[in-house]
Amino acid sequence: MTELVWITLVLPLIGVAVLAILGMKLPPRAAGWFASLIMLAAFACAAIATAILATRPAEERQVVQVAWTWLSAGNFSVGLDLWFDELTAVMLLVITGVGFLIHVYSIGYMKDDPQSRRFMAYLNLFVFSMLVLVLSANLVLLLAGWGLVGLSSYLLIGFWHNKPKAIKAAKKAFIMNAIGDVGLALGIFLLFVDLGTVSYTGIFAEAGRLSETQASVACLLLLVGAVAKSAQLPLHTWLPDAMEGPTPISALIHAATMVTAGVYLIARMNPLFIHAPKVLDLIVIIGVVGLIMSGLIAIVQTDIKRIIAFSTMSQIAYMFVGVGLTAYWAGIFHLFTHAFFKALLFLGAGLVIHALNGEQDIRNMGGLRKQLPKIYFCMMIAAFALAGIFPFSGGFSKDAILSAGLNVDTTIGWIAYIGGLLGALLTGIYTFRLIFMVFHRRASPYAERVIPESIKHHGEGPSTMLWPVYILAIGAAFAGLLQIPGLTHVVTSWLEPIAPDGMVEATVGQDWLTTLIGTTIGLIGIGIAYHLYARESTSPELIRNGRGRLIHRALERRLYWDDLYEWSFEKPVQWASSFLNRDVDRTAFRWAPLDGLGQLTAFFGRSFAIIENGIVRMYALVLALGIAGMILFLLVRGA
Amino acid sequence: MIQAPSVDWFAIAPEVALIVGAFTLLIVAAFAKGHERGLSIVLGGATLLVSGAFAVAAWGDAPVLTMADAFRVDDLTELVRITVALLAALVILLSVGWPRFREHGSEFTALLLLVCAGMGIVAGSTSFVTLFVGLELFSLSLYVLCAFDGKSRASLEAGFKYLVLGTIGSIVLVYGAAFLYGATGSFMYDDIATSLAKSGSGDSIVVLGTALVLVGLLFKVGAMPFHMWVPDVYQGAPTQVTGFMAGATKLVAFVALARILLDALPSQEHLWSPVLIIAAIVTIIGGNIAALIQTNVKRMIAWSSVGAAGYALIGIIVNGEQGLRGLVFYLGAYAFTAMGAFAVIALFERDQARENGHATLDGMRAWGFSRPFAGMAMVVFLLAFAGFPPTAGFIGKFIVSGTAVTNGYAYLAIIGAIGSVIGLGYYLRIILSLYDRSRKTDVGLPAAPGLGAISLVILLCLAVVLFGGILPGVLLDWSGQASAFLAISR
Repeated sequence: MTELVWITLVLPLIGVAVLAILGMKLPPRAAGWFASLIMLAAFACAAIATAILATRPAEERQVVQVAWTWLSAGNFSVGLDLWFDELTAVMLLVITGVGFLIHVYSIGYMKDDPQSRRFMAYLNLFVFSMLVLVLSANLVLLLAGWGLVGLSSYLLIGFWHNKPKAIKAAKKAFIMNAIGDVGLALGIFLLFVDLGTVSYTGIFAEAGRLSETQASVACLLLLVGAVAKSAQLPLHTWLPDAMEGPTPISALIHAATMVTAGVYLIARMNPLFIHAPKVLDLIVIIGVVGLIMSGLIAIVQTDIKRIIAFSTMSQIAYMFVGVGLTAYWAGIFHLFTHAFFKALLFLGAGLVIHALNGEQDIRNMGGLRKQLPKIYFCMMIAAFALAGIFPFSGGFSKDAILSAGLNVDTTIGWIAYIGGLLGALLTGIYTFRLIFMVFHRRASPYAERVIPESIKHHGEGPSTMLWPVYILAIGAAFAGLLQIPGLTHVVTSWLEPIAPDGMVEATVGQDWLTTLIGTTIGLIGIGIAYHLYARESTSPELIRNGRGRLIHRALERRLYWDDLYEWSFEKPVQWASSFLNRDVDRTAFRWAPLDGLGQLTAFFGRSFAIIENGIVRMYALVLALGIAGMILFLLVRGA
Repeated sequence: MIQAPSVDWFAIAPEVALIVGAFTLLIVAAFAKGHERGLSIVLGGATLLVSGAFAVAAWGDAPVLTMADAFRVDDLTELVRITVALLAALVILLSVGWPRFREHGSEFTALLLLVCAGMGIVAGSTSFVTLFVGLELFSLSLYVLCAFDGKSRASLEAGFKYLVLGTIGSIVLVYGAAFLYGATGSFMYDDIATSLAKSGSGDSIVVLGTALVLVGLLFKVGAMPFHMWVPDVYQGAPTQVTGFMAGATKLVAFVALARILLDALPSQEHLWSPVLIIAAIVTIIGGNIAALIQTNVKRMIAWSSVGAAGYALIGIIVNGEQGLRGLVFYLGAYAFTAMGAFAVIALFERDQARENGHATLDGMRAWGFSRPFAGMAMVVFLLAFAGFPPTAGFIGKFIVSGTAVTNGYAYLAIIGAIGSVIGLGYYLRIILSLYDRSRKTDVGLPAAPGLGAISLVILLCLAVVLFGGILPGVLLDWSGQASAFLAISR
C-alpha cells in the first residue's frame, strides 16, 4: 500500500520532468493528454491505496513511513516521511480525482494557447506540491509543500504574463501567502523549541506537555499560515484577484484544493489545537465573520468568476467554523463536497465565458439556458448544492457543520449556528443571482450577438471540457449521500480515528432540524434572488441606485480591505522610500563617499595585484616577512 | 644492528598499490611505444581502482598504527585516500583528449599515481619524518605535473615557481620540526604532545618550532600571507592539474595541519589559535577581494580558492566534533566543486585550442549558449563556491559558520558572510559573461577532443555537488566518522 502512495506522489513529478524536458517537442494535445493520464494513474493508485486502507482495522490505519533522513543534527531530524491515514486518503482522492478532471478540461480550454505545454507542466507541478503538503509526516516537509503550492499558484495566476493585471494579482497572492508562510514557519520553530520535535507523531504525543499559553501561541502562528493560504480574514484579499488566472486554475487551486490547505492543517493538527481552546473559538469567529462578509460582497459583484471566488471564501469559512467547533469530520466533509460543486461551478463558468468569447461580466449575459442547456443543467445542480438545498451534497455537509454548533450549545456554538444560517440566506441570494442573471433574464445585446455564432462554431464546448463537468455534476448531486443523518455514516466512521480526543457529532434530531431550517432559509434566499434579479421589472442598476446604495458601494469596494492595506502598508512604504531616495540619499549622502564602498574594495584588489606581480623574489620576500611576523607575534604572545 | 620495524601490509596496501602501479606503467610503456594513451588510461585507472578498493575495504575498521607507530590508518586516512583516488581518476579522464597526454601519458599518469601515494602517506602520518617523506613525494611529483605542458611558457613558469616557493615552504616546516625535536626529543606527534604537556609552554624554542611548523603548513594550504604561489601556479598549470591541486592538495594539507595541531601541539592552542584566526580573517577577505579584479577565470578561481582555505581554517579554530566534521565536509565538497569548475574551464580551453584562447572573462562571452550543459554546470559550481543552496557548498559553509556561531566565534561567521558577498561579485561576473546575449551566435561548436570524457567528469562532479546539497545526510555521516579520529585523539 505504501508503494502505491509513493507512486501517487512521484507520478506528477515525473510528469513535470518529462514535460519540462520534452515539452516543446511534443504536440500540445499529446502533452495535455500525457499530463492527464499521469493524473489518472495517480488517482487510480490513490484509490487502490485507500481501498486497502479501508480493509484494515481502524487502529492500524495510520501509516508513517520514513523514506530517508534529509538532515539530522542532535535530536533534530527531518526526512521525507510519509503519513498516510484516513484524512490523507480523503485529500489524496480529492486532489488527484478533481485534478484529473481539470487536467482533461484544460486540454480543451488551452487548446488555442501556444503555451499550453508550459501550463500542463505547471499543473503537474502544483499537484505534486499539494501531494507533498498532505502526505508529509512532519511540519518541515509540510512547510516545503506549503511553499511549493504557493509557488505553483503564483506561476499559474500569472500564467498570462503579458497581462499586467494577472502579474499584479500573482504578486499579491504570493506576498499575502508569504506572510502566512512566515507565521507557519515561526509556529514550527516555536513547537520545536517547546517540544524538541517537528514530526506529527512526536508533536501529538507531547502536546499535553504544553501550557495553554504555549499551545495558544503556537496554534495562533499556525493559524496565520492557515488563514493566508485559505484566504480567510484578514489575509483574504488575494483570492478575488487571483481570478485573473486561467479558469481551470481557479477551479483546481483556488476552489477545490490549495485554498483548503488551511482547513487541512487545522484538522491535521487537531491534537495540538485541542490544547488551545481560545484559538479554536477564534477560528469559529473568523469563520462566521468571514462567511457573512464574503457572502454580502458576493451579492454585488458583476464578474462571474469573482462571485464564485467570494463564494469560495465563504464556503471555506464554513469549513473553518466546522474545524473550530472540533467537528473536524464536518469540516472535511464540506471540503470534500465543496471540491465537487465549486469546481463544477468554475468549470461551468469557464464554459459560459468560452461560449461568450471571453466575456465575464454577468450583466452582458442572460437568457443562456436555451442556448446552453447542458451547461445550465449542470450549473443548476452546483447552485443547489452550494445553496445547501436538500438533498444536494452541499446541504448535508453544511448542515453538519451548523448542527455541530447546535450540539455544542455554548455562546460560540450559537454564534456559529445563527451566523451560519444567515450565511445560508446570503448564499442562496448570490448563487441564484448568478444563475438568474446568466441563464434566465432576457439576453443582453452582447450575448444575443455572440452566442449563435459561437454555438454554430463549437456547440456548447469541446467534449474534453464537457465531460469533466458531467462527472463533477454527478459528484455534486450525490456526494452528500455518504452521510445522511441517521441512515449512512461513512464520513463520521471513516474520519473518527483522526481525532484522538474525539470530535463533536450532533444527534440525528439536531441534524434533521438543521436540515429543515437550512433548506427553508436557502429557498427563501432563492426567492429573494428571484424577486430582485430574475424579473424583467427590476434591473441591477435600479438596485444599485436604490435605498441601500451606500452599503452597496461599500460592498462593491469589498468593504475597503484592499484600501486599508494600501493606505496602511503600501503607501507609507512608498512615501518612506521616495523620501529616503529623493531627500535623504540624493542630498544628505551626496557628499559622503558611500558609493565609494565598491571603489574601495576594488582599490584593495588592485593593491594585491601590485604585490602579486609574478616575480619570485617578491614572493619570497613576502614569505620571509610573513615568517618574521609570525615568529615575532608568537614570541611576544608566548613569552 | 638496526631492527626493521614490523609492517602491516594491508594497512599500507593503497600506497603500495599506487607505487607499484606507477612503476609498472613506466616499464610497460617503455616496451609499448605508441600506446601511451590507452595504457595510461587502463593501467592508471586500474591502479587507482585497486588502491581505492583497499581503502574502501578498510573503511570503518579500528585504527591501525604501523611502521614503528609513525603511520596511522584510521577512517580519516581512508577518506583522504578514497577522495584523492577519485579526483586522480577524474584528472585522467580530463586528460584523454590532451595532446601532451597522447605523447607522454605514461609519465603523466605515473607521476599522478605517486602524488596520490604521497598524499595518502601525509594523511596518515603521525610523525614529522613520515610527514616529510609523504610531503616531498607528492610535492616533487606535483612540481613536474605543473610544468608538464612543456610547450606552454606559463606551465613551465608555474612549475618553476612552485618548485622554488614550495621548497622554501618545506624547509621552513622541517626547520620547525627540528626545533620541536630539540625541545622534546621526538618527531612523534604523541611524544611531542606528552612532553610539551609536562614541561609546559613558554620555552622560546617550542614557540619558534610552533611558528615555523605553522608557516610551513599554512603555506601548503595556501592561506594568507603565505599564498603567493597559488594564483601563478593555478593559472599556469595544466587545468586538470589545477583542479586536482585545488581539491586534493588542500584537503591533504588541512588534514596534516589538523593532525599536527591537535595531536602534537594541543598544549600550544593559545599560540596557534590566534594565528589561525588572523590568518582566516585575512585570507577570507583578501582572497575574495583580490579575485574581484581578475579577468582570467582560472586566476579568479585560484584567488577564490585562497579564500576557501580561510573558511576551512574556521573549522580547525572552532575545533571539537562539530567543527572538524564541518572542516572535512567542506573540504570534500570543495574538492568536487573545484574539480568540476576546472573541468568546465578545460573544456573551454579545448574548444579554443586553435585560437590558443585563455579562459578570460572576455573570451568566455556567450560560450554558455554554445555548450549549454557545461555552462549550466558552471553556474551550479559557482553558486556552490558562493554557498548557495541546494549545493554542497551551502551545507559546508552553513555547518562551518553555524558551529562558529555556537562556539563563540560569531565574528568569524560574519567575516565569512562578508567574504561570500564579495565573492558573489566575481562569480556573477563569470555567469554574466557566459550568458552575454549580445554576443550570442547560432553557430554550434564542433566536438572538442575528449568532449565525452570531460562531460562525464562535469556530470560526476555536478552529481556530487547537488547530492551533497540536497541529501547531505550520508556525506555528513562519513565526514563525522572520519573527523572523529581527530577529536578522539585529543
